[in-house]
Amino acid sequence: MGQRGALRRLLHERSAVIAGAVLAAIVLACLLAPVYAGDIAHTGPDANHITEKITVSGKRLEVVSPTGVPTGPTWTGRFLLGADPNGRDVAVRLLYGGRNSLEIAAIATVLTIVLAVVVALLAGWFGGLLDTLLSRAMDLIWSYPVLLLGVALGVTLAVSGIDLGFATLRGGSLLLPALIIGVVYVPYMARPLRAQTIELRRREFIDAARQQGLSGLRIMLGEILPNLASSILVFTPLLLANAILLESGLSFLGAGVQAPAPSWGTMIAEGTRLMPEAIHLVLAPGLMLLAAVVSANVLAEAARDALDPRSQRLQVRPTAGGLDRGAPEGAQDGAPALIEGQAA
Amino acid sequence: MSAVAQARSLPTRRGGHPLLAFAVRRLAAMVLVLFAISLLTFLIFQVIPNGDPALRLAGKLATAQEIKDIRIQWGFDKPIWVQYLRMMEQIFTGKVISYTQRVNVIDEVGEALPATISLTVGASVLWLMLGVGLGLMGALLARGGRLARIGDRALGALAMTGISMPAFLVGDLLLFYLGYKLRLFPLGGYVPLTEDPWQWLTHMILPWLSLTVLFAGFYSRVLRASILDTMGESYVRTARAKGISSRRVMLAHVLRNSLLPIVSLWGLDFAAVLGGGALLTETVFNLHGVGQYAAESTQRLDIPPILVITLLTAFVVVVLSAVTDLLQAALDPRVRLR
Amino acid sequence: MFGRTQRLAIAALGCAAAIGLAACGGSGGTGKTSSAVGPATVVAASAPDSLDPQVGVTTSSTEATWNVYLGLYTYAHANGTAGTKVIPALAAGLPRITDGGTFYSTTLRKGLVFSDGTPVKASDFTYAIERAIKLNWENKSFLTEHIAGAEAYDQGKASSISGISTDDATGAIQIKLTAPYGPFLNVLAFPAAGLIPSTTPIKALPNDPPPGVGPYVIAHVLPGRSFEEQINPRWAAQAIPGIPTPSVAIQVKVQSNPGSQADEVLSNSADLFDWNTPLPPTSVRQAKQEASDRYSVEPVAQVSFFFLNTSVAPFNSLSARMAVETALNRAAYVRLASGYLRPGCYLVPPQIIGYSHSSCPGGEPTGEGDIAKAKQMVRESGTAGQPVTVWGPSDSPHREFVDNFAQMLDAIGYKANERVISPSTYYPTVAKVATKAQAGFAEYTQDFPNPVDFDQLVDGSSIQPEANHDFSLARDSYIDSEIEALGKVPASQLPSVVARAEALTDHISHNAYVAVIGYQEAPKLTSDRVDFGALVFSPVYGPDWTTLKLK
Repeated sequence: MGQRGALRRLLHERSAVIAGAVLAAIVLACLLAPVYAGDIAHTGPDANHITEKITVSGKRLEVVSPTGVPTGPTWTGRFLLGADPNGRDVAVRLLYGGRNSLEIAAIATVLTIVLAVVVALLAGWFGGLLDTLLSRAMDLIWSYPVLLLGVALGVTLAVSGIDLGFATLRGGSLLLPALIIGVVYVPYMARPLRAQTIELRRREFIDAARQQGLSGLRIMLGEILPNLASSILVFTPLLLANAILLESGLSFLGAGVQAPAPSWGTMIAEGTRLMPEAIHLVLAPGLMLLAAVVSANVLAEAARDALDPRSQRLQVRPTAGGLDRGAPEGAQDGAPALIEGQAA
Repeated sequence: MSAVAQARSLPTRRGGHPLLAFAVRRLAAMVLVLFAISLLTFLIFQVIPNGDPALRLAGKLATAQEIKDIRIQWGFDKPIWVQYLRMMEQIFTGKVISYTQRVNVIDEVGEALPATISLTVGASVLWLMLGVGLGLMGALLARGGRLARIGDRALGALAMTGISMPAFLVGDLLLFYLGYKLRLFPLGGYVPLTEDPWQWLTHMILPWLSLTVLFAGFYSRVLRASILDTMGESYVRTARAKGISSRRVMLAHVLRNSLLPIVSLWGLDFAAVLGGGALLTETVFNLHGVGQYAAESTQRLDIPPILVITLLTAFVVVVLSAVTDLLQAALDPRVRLR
Repeated sequence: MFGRTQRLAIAALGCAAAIGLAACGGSGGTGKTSSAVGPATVVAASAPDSLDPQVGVTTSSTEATWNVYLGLYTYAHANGTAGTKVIPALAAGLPRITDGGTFYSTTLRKGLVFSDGTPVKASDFTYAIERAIKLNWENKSFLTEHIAGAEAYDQGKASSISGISTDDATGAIQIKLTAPYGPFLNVLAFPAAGLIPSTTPIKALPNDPPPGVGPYVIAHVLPGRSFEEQINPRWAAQAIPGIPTPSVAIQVKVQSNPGSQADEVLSNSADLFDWNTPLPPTSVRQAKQEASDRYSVEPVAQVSFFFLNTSVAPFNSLSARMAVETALNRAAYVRLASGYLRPGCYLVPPQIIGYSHSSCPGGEPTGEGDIAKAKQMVRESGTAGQPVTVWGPSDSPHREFVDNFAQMLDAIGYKANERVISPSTYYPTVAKVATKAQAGFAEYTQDFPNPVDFDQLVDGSSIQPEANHDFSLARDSYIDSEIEALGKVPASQLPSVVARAEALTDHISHNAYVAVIGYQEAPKLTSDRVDFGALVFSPVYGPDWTTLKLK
């Protein structure tokens, strides 16, 4: 099945197009955050106006009341979506927070893909001891509840930072949650890809390549990797969706993005604290996050259908606590539709 | 190959009872997994934070002497592997004490379990029922006419929304609209069933709903796909050709087979939540269950409770996945116990 | 103590919404009619860390234990500064202090019995001190550093504390100190120095606390959820002057959702709102409108501040520190604290002897700060453009405090960064001198109402590499010598040194070693069946349950 045909089918799928457009719009809006902040809201993401007053339709309004309740949406340029407890503009923080959330998710996704592909190729191609070692490592990460592992790493690393040898990440760095999320999801992708690699290795064209005297590395990169492409393609939006979710969960538990950097998760966490009084603090980032995750998930589903139109079948992926299950059945198809790593 | 998979591939001892061999293999795999998880957890918390746990334990006006005392008393001066062994020994003898609250962790987990069990049992039944109902409906609609297919799509969208929701957002929204606004339910907390059954129920409904929103969508999608898949299989077509009513085919063959993935999924989710996996939901609703205890303990970098709870989670998951496999085998004669 | 505040971030320590409901009044009407005398229900946000007197240290614990485990001394049951006065409890009178303040002698009252009927012996005092040390009570250094021989006992070099001698026949108790230590009377008033029978095991008993002498007895402890304080049946017969006899039993239920807590008290299904949590804003509105006769805001002996590290740039410059003091927008912090903060610039809080009444060096403390002037000061100090990392704990509202402070530093010309970390690791981290934290948030709740307890936060002579508490690393010989002098004044004689204590407070603020934001306040909210006026709010322990009366 040609991949170009798949793309055409994808573009014909209305839901995919809509989801793609929504995702693109969100990304664009977040990229334009400085423009919005400078020209419309006239404030920065960290600038607080806690003891100031604003005028909304003729009325003077305290940005934050003396008992600490921030104003709700004004639906005008300043404080479009209201203020947070520090008197900061929620709309501005929403866009800057989106940048952080999306940036982390994107980095984590790329990291997961790269690590998973490397692990899958090495384990699947070489087999033997290397396979055993890598697979056991994957099992270990996999059998650990996603959220607990993420929080554990997030909390501990936030204190000390991490020294990667070539670079040192400080405690507050955005790259820390990205790194954590990236690693946590590796097994979810590496396992099916490994199974696929093993399957491919037995195929005739690989034998042929081997007989031509091509090196293992060249076969892996030149022959096997292209055949994994469609799986990787489906995995990408899926990982993105789950990375956004996990980032918000970590931030909610204080183990993700660190102050003062906003992220959707930290914003919701803050809103939860002030909940009955200032529900806009939960709704604004909550709905934005939901839109992004739904879009990514829909895109993933559509991509799977487009790449494998014969099957209506959804892969059952391991749960967060999924432990005692080898590579899921049918992993050779390698085209998952959902990762159930949902942090409850 | 995973440790587990390897254990599985061991040849079945001839003459041995398959069930016994199954139990032995799973047990061996469990020990390995628990060991690995405990080691990983211990390393994450004991090694990564550059802060000395003795400092956190010592309190504020501590003198250097006191810090040293604590270091010796809690064994932080010993090599890391001695500390690990010591803690594991304490856990398995039930004598493990938390760093920050200085209470017996096993007792605390015991206190927290009723809330978590209440959450798990109620929610899992709800999400399974709703998931199966919606999945079945989706599959039927998918094979219907134009209008029906629109219904299927709507269900799909609904499921997708549930799947894509962060747990705490679901909790917040339920609390706000049904708790604060409509005042239908209490704003979190847990009441023991034995204390006041009615209060127990009203306190549990929102957390149950919350988990149901998160899980039911996924189940319905899996079931729908699985049903559509099964319907395409030859034996179903044969049955229908033989003139067996489509309703009977649906119930006797299709649903029965399609439920297989759901059962194993359900078993594992049940186990994950029971083992304290619902950190966010328990925290938002302040259930004071095992998950919330885990979340609080990670905030405090309190290693003993974290270790105990991760081990508990792993243990429950291993046991329940074995149970699920048994169930699977009972449901489907093609499945062999491995 | 640092960070030992009441607001726990995610650590919602309890839930038990209705354990109490069932117990307190059959979830509604039935219970109320059956017995006019309670129990009264207290809804608390956090569970006591331990109800064992020789273990518990949080305010939730001491609030519960100070009326159960009386020691030789306790605090007057009174509002405001009067409530900071130490009065004799199980001791027959104030101690005779001799040998230049190193020898305390007193006598036990006659005829005292524990709540289980066991007669109280003088040696039970020794046992309580030994037990606190052996159980590693978090503040045991108050005992080991000051009582002669306690250090050796702690290290296992001695089988008893040589500095304490008691006579069970006469009830005489004599304590020898290693050096004169004025607040020692305050130390003896800790619930941890509360007497327990010498037969009590040396292990923490948080769920089944030992008997004590006091108006109340602890019962039915459900850890993290609820406990009861029943009236000690043996109390009335041996009532001690100055300590009220309670009229109602107390049922404490832990429930970490302040909103529903407040609702319960406002709707009269619970009787007292826990002082350790601020009232959520909607409830404040409701309380002010519908319950103004049973709602007030009370001061807490606590100080919130940002330390400014005087050993590294830029805050080694006095004018840089003064600029911060000038720019501080205290009104903003009041809002972030949901209104429960009294703005102020002095390290010693208002109800403590030594609080200064002169004007603040940076202008009116209720003001919003003068950014322009501060910016000018920063420019003149030559520190403009320097990077500053502001540290803070990640729980609310401290995290928001840090956001605000960092933003202010940016506004006056610095380049601020934030390092916000888990509350449990925060204080140990900034208390390490090697961390070189340039600035950071700190809040300090008194160990006891004594000015030196606050002044020691800038005590240069106490600086140590780890577990340091002079976060600003202020080294000021005047402060050090004044602390030493004031520290020798016995707590009972503090009123004689008011002027000197105030001068020290002024000196600290004029050097801006710390940028004080203000002092936390607590809500006092009761149901309408409670006699609101009669309920004492102790500056040390919060609402005094012994004075809680139902109408």
